[in-house]
Amino acid sequence: MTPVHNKILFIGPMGAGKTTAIQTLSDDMAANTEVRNSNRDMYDKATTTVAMDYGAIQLDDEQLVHLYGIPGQKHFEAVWPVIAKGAIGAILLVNASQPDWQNDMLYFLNAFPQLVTSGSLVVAINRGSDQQQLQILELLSQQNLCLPVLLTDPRDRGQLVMTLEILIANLEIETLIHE
Amino acid sequence: MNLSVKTFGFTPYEVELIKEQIRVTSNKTTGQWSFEGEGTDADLVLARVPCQGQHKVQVPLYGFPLPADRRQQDVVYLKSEWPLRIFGLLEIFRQAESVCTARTSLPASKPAESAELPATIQLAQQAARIKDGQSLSVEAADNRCYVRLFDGQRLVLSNLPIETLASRLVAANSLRFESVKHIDSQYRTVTPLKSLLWSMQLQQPVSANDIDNWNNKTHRLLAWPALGQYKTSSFMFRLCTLLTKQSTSIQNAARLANTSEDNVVRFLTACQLVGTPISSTESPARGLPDLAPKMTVNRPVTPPAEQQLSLLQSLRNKLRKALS
Repeated sequence: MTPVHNKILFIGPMGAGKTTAIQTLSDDMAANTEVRNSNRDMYDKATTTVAMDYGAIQLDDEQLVHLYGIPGQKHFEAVWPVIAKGAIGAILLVNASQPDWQNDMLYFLNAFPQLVTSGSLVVAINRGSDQQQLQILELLSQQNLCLPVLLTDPRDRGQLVMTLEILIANLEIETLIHE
Repeated sequence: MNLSVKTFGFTPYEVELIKEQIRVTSNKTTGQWSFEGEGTDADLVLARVPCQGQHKVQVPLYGFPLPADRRQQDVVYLKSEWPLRIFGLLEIFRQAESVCTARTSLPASKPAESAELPATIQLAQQAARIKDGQSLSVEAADNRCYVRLFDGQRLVLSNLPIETLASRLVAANSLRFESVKHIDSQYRTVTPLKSLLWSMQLQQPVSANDIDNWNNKTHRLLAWPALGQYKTSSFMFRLCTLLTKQSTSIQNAARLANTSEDNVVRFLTACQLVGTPISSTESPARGLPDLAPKMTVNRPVTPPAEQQLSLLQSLRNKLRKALS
């Protein structure tokens, strides 16, 4: 049987809410590799992910959707492609209350060009406003990018489900138009 | 020659952008163009939604041509593309100047009779006219709501949930509008006007005329609508995905998004009303597929179609179950 590639990636800088989002969506307790944050100058939170986060959504006895979260700090950039391999889509989480959050977003878009050009990426703004959502749409347009942008609270399952629904729609359309 | 230009139905951000473009072109035109804000009484109106009013020239930037029966006979309609570029704007000014020069020697013509417009368009037009701090009372049968311009954003105040309000306004034969000075602040829902227009448009009956507006052309969304602010469903996600990837006819969009042509027309019009840029081009040929060249980028690993679609359906079902 052909293996089914069903990996969804959560990307974004440290403190964006990736670990929380995976925990919110997973059926069971998600696995994480949180350690004490030794770089509180960059982002003031107690712990941070150093390897990756993992969670899963069980569809039936045989099928699982795997949720992987990358470590957000840029010095882990070398492992991002390894974790991203085979992903069918990604959710880019950005914390809009952080300084330089727009540049952070562009940095991650550049780091995952394959997902961006295929449209398999949703930008989820955490702690953002309607105005910031419009700013991001404008910023993407200036970069000649056309991606969905949503205001998302990573603790809110309903909002995360909407981001997954958009990824599903993208995959359905990609599958149909390339058939 | 002193000439006035106004915008109609744009977002505050877009208005600022146009204002800046007009400033840049100010010393490159024969006439003296002055920007006078949002409205329909000016020599030239740049319209993002269909509108009528006292103007000589209109540039419809809403992506589809207005049928002849809804056009004002004494207004000259100029074609241009949205988003506007500096050279496009200069060309508009040049043509509008010749129209206005020619008109100054003619007697004023009778104002055209107002054509009956759908409730959603009526509301969009009336709401676009209100100024900061002003309020508009909207009455349909026994239902009343208010639109208020506050801090650059048009808000709807109502005692009804937004979806119920949308259905009642659409169901009413006509809406009554009245400018009011004071409104009670005790309202259960305060929603952006765009959310109401979106919901109304998606419930609006689709006429043959509406289909004609979008037919024989292919359409492409140049940006995603600000989802999350509007009521959405799976077919809309598929339409957004498809229409941002390639320019597509309404027939093909309906087939690929697994929905009806009416829904595609409703969706496209709703996108227009909330200011999502759409590019429409004349369809080169009939038949399917009318798709633009396929993307040649490296795509993520894609399993066989059937297997993929079944997985996606299972995932969607699972997500819905989890939320119910």
